[in-house]
Amino acid sequence: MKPPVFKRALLMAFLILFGCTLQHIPGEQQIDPSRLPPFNPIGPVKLTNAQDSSENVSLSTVGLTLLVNYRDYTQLAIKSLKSELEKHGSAVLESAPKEIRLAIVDLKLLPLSISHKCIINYTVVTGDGYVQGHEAIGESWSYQVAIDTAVTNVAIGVLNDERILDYLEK
Amino acid sequence: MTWVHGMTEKDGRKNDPIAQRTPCSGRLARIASCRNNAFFRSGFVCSFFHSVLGHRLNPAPMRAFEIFLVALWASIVCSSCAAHLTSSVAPNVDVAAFKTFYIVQSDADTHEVYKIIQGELTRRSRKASFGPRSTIPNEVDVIVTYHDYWHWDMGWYLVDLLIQLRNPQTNVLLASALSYRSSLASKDPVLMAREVLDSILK
Repeated sequence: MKPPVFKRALLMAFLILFGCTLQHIPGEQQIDPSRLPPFNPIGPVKLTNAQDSSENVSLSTVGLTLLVNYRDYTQLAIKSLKSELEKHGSAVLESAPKEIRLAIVDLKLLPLSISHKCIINYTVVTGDGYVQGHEAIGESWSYQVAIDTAVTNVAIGVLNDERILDYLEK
Repeated sequence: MTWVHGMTEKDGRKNDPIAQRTPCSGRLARIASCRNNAFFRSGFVCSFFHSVLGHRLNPAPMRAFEIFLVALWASIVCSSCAAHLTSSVAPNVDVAAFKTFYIVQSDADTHEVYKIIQGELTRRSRKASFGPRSTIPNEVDVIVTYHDYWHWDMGWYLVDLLIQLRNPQTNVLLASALSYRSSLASKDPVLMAREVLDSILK
């Protein structure tokens, strides 16, 4: 009978050599108020997750394969957005006449020397027909933090778009 | 002297039945037995201590640490020559229909990657120009943005190249591809740009 340490070493060797597949569920980060411009939204807003696909997307990076879910990530960005809009006095309602549709459409994880850079592309559409693609970037030594930062930066990016702020302040 | 978990060197050896059977001597051997590290007594680790440091350790049949070291070495070698290429195209986008490209120069680009991309697009019989974001011509089919990351290892080499195709009016992402190549797997930047564009425009 092989000793347990032998089995553990074999498992460790297997993981080191062949990597593994992980699913990252992003965590919400607090938005620094200094990163948002002053704005006063008028009336309630409807926030819609426009990412239809709920399939996990496989993302290869050094040493591991990461499963990311664009729909879940968009939902987290919407949660941050909702929180900021409510802080600024706007209600987020399903029946609101104003609508912001948000969809994370692409996520890439770039391995750097000692850190990871996460680049998220997202599309935002307002109720008055404005369509715009943006990019949000997060960088950290931990790929999880890099992704979480980039998702938070999606919400920050939406609220830094002057055209969207004009729409909210109408 | 206090060792791990508050255990003294003497206690560690006394509590370790394997260490009591081991006729090894010297500080390293005591550390091994005190920490109950079986791997210190396995094959080439023992030989190493015996030949280099003069410590005599009993080779045990357990080779777990050796396997771990070999795997670690293999992983370092493998990660040094790691390379991967990922690409994605938005649904209902026909990238083959794009004929006129405008490459938006990246502010962080210090290696003139925009010229490499332009050369590769021209090689594919596409019309390509470049410049800052503020001067995007009206007649282009698609704008190209990119992220490049370089590293120094006896010379600069391109580690990551991410190329994105966007709608010139809305900036919405239409397609993207990323190539990662570590030191031993590095390629000429022209070839990396080629493989990235190949994966998008195939």
